[in-house]
Amino acid sequence: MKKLSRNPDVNWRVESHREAHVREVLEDPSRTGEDAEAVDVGTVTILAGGVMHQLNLLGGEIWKLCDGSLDRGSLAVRLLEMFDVDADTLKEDANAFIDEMMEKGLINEE
Amino acid sequence: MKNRDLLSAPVTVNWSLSYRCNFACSHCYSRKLETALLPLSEIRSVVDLLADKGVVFINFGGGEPLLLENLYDITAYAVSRGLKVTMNTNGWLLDPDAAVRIAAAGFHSVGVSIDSPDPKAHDLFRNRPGSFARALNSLDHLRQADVQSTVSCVINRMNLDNWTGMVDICRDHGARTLYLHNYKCTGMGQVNMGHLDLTPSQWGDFYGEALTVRDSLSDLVISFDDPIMAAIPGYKADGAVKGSTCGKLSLHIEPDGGISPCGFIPVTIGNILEDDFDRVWFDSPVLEKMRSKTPTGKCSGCDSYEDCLGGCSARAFAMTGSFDSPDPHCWVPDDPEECSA
Repeated sequence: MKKLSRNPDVNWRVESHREAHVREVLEDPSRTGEDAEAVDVGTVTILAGGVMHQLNLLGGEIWKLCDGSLDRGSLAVRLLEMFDVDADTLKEDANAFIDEMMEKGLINEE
Repeated sequence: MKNRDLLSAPVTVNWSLSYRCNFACSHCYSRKLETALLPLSEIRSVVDLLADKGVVFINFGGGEPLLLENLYDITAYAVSRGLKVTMNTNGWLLDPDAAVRIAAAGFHSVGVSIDSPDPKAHDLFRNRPGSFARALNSLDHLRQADVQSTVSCVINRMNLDNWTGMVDICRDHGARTLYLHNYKCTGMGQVNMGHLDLTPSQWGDFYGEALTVRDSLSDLVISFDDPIMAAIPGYKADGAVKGSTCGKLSLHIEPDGGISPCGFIPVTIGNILEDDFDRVWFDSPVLEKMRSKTPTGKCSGCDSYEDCLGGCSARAFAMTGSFDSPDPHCWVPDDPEECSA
């Protein structure tokens, strides 16, 4: 199976402060009203070709997992361990994200 | 701007390792500044901290970086910590040997300042006869050493009519990007702004022309960024933040470890070796003011404010002492009706 890897020429980092905030909101049942805003917060910053991209929590986790060791199927399994959501929806979202990142030359699949 | 909206640390740190310089340029923000320098051991500690915080880029300026004996050691160490290191130089000291050492240290790229395609005009602006020729030579030495180079050009009255000639200079000497910097009225830049700075309407015309030239080229990147460009009809900025990037994407470190929002804002908001970096980044009252500006004067009610956020905070601060004042380069008329017309 083809493995997913980040473009090695791309600079990136985890926005640890923001990531902690998003996790705090998502894990606190009393803050459900803030969920919608939190899922859009950029937790990973990617700098490519002079452009700065922000990835939300799901995108950021996919990005981090693209270390060359996982294919789409095994990556989805890892994501399902992290996110308590419908498996088919998650796979669909993850595949759409990976396709988009491949189009931009940020992720390779080989 | 809420703290949770902030990036966890600056993406870029502009670092003046020293204000010492072999030039006395007409627009220099730091010519009259003097501070103590950090010893190498403390500079390494600063590098460690920046790497641990996730800073991506360090750009050495100042001061002329090539005057520093330990520049190569510092750079090699920063590169070993995963940082991308660049510098801005006047090129005077960048001979073939220096270019080889630059390559060995691992510089990501080197920016050479050239302010006019006319040698005499450049030498006059930089107050150093022969500096144009040596700047061009430095680009050739960098190319020979396989180091990526860029050219930095400060737009001012002297080059307003012929700056496009810089495109051929970049092509002929292997520079991959031409940076067009807007004039900052800080330090000597303020002293000489009367005869060097453009009028607001000239800035508006310049940016219109620069966008046209930029979009017509495929072999050279022309890069310029100014929040007041939001006032150009139809212009869409692709920046990661609105308004000034200082204090949102970048910070400046002074030679003694002092932290300032930007090299052109001479306000020290902490010290990187003495203060908690996160506390400065997230809680500095000065940064908070820059991140949460209040429109005043002609900015109040202006259609562009939502995108430009008052323009360059450094220019507003230099001229009025307030970050909230309208950018003095802004060409939008004072009359709100004319503004929205």
